Amino acid sequence: MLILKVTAIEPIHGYGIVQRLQQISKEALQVRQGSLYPALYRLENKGWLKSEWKITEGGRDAKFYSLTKAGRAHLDQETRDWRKLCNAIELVLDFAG
Amino acid sequence: MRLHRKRETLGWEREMSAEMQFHFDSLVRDFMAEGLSREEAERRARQEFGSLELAKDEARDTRPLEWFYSVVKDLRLSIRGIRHSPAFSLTVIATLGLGIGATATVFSLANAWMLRSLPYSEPDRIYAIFENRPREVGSDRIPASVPDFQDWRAQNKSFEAMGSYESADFIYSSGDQSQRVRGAFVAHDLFQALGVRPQAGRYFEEDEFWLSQATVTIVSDGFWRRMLGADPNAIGKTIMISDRPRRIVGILPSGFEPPIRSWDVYIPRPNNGMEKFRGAHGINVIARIKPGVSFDRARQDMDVISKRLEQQYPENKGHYASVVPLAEALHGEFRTSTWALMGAASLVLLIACFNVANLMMARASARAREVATRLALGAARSRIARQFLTESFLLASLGAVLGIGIAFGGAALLRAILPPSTAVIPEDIRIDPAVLALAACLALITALICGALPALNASRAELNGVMREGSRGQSASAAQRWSRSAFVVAETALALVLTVGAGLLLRSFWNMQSVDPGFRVEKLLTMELMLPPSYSEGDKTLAFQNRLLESTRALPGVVRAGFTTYLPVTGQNVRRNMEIQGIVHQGSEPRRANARIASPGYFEAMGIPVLSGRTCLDRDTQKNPVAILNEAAVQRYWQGREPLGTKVQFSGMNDDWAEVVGVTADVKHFGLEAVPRPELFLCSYAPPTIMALVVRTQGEPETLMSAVRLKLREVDANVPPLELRSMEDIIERSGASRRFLTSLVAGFAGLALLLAAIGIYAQLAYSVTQRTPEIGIRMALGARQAQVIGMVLQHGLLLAGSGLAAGFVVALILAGWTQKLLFGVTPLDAATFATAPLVLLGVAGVACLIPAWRAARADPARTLRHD
Repeated sequence: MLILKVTAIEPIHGYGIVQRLQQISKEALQVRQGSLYPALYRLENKGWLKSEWKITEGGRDAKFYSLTKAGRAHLDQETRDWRKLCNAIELVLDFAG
Repeated sequence: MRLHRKRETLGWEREMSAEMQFHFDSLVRDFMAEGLSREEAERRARQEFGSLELAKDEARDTRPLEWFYSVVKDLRLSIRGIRHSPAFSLTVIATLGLGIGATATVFSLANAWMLRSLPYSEPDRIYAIFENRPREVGSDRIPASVPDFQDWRAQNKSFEAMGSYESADFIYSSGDQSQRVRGAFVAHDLFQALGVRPQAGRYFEEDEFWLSQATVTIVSDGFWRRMLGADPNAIGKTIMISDRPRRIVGILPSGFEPPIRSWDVYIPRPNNGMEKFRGAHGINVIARIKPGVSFDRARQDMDVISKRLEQQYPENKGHYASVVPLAEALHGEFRTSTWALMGAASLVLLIACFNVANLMMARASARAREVATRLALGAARSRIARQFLTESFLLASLGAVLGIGIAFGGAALLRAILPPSTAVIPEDIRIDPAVLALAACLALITALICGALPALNASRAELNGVMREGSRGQSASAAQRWSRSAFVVAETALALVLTVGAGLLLRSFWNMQSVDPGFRVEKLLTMELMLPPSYSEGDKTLAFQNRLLESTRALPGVVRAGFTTYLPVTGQNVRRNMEIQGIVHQGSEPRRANARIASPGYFEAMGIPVLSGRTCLDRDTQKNPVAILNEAAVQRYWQGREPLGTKVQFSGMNDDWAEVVGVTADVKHFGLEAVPRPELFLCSYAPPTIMALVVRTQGEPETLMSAVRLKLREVDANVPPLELRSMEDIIERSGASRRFLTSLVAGFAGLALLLAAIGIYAQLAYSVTQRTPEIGIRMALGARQAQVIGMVLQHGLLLAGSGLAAGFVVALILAGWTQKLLFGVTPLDAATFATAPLVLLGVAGVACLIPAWRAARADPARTLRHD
């Protein structure tokens, strides 16, 4: 879901995604960067991302990923579900505490 | 050899590499921007990114057709692996090829049998009905008599059609050409019972049976094509069969195969005078059960009828109608042999599998280092296991291909040596889709059996343990070592079982060969003939016989000659009720004997010993009939009294009584393995038109064949010989099926011993290689060559010995199954059970020698330095 969120803003390549995630979560998520790609490919297989080879600012070829319409719909749904879950947990915590 | 890779794959791979490379390079660039040196930056990048190969592998797993691509990759790796270890691969392929080939060959035989097994519609509704006399030994399937058949037919409620057949030979004459054709006398609904419908014309009608001369005939499709040129107007035409005109009223369809052999001509059963005798048994009854009626119901029905007949007719005392499914009646014997062969082939296949499993385990443990390395690099255990399985599937497939090739040869061999049989025709033994499917299944199963264990073991390889092993890199867990030894022991046991089986069969064969048929077999020529009906008036037959005897005896190279009705060993027979004047019959069944007519010179020509009295002389004629008995008859019916001088009579002899003038030794009439039955020869008393000439020759019988045939032509050109062959040929033919079975099983046993020997050798060689350091040390410490050899031999004999013991027990248990196939030996024959283990020990000993020898010759300095 995080990947989808990152790509929602603008088309971005794999390294960019990792950088953005590190910015956002401030190094809280530590995984091997290489395992990003299987996740990206799976999302692409599902039709939520689409990819395109473009030239970066540095002049190199890189594959850029962007959200598809279906991906956006899925992201919205996932976000809503997540928020609902968070609210529910908060309620419980408020109630219990 | 590169398998074709889809362009898409290349493109995808390239893209993915480029993408990841970009990511990696970006990491390096950024780290360098932070001030790290190039090597530092690359190190950090590697840390952050993780293993490139691993990432690529994981990424590949996401591809939609991933499974396909990984299978292709596995195959490529497997092919490479196979090419890199040719000795191993070839051994595995050859071993599997032998196992699968043997099994497929035997299966083609069983397949041919099943193909031919009753090509009739709804064959499980067809039954043969025999007469069974439980109180008489060896009389459980006797042909029926005509009155019994008529009663069965009239009184039963379970069968919708019942007919009979009697095999017969006819003479078809067209123009001045005469030819013998095979066929049958048919009564009532035989065709309906078999479920065959003429392709043209009709069935016989009720009023066409039991006439003095049948005027109609039904012919086979083959006859119609060969002899009548597929004449479209054949129906209604008249042809000459055995000197009588018969109108063709029906042609059978082309797919029809009669129960016994290919028949061409069918004639409605005429009335030949024997029909009123309930005691004369000669017809074979076939019936089709009504739909919805069960086998048991039909049997009970016939039992009721049998009891009724028993009460009404004293000569039927102790007789029961026996209803048997036709398949069993015709092919029961063959089925047992086929099962035995399949069992033997399966054992060979199993042994082959054990060998291959051991080989694969050895190889897997040799590759343990490679596996550990791959695991360290992050490969999934399941992938590795899958690749090993792919390898074994590939090897198994190649083995199956080789096996099919071997099966082609095997099928050809079977076709060549198949004994004449009603159950199978040689042409049916071929590699057809069913056999191919079996081979494929076997390949699959063996791949699973042999490949699964090593694959599982390999994927469980312990990283640390393997990496720390000696340079040889061969590790074997205790479980592996144990299972390898267990396999060798198992296959040795199976080899022993098969050897025992072969031994039992070989002894049976030997016994059969040593049977004394009761006459002198060598240098004996035989000719079977049938005279046309014109001979059945008056003394024409006798005159014919005398003329032929005279001219044959005059031939140079002929020592003696004589006539009889049926030749020994062929099993053809006529049995009649017999009366003995002056001796009151004790038993509950009427007295019976096989009835034959002999001419003067017959017994001498055959070399049958005369025990008392004399044989036939020229002066014995119908007017004062004389009879010669065999010993079995005397012992059975004469109650210890002197047989010479008593008077006997057969049913059908009207009021004539024959005086017994001689007793001869028993002759094996029903085949070498059967018990002789009472026989009575009448001398020159109304010889029937079926007869056999026997000629004792000075040289080889074959040299006189054309001369004798010529003499026959001179006497009467219209009489073709039915069979002209030497007695040795007949005897050999009668033993053909036993020879067939025995040679095949013996061949399989040999194969099994070979494979087991290879297995023992491989295991010992492997263990010697494992223990080379230890041997080196021992020798360095002063052990002598002989001791080393002894050590290895001990190991080998321990394996072989355990296998022997296990196999011995299994053989004891299974021996009972072979009962039906044996002759003159019991299943638990001591000699066989004693010899077979010795044979196996010898073979195992030889297999142990080579590794032992090599171990002893090892140079201790070198082997110690090796590590």
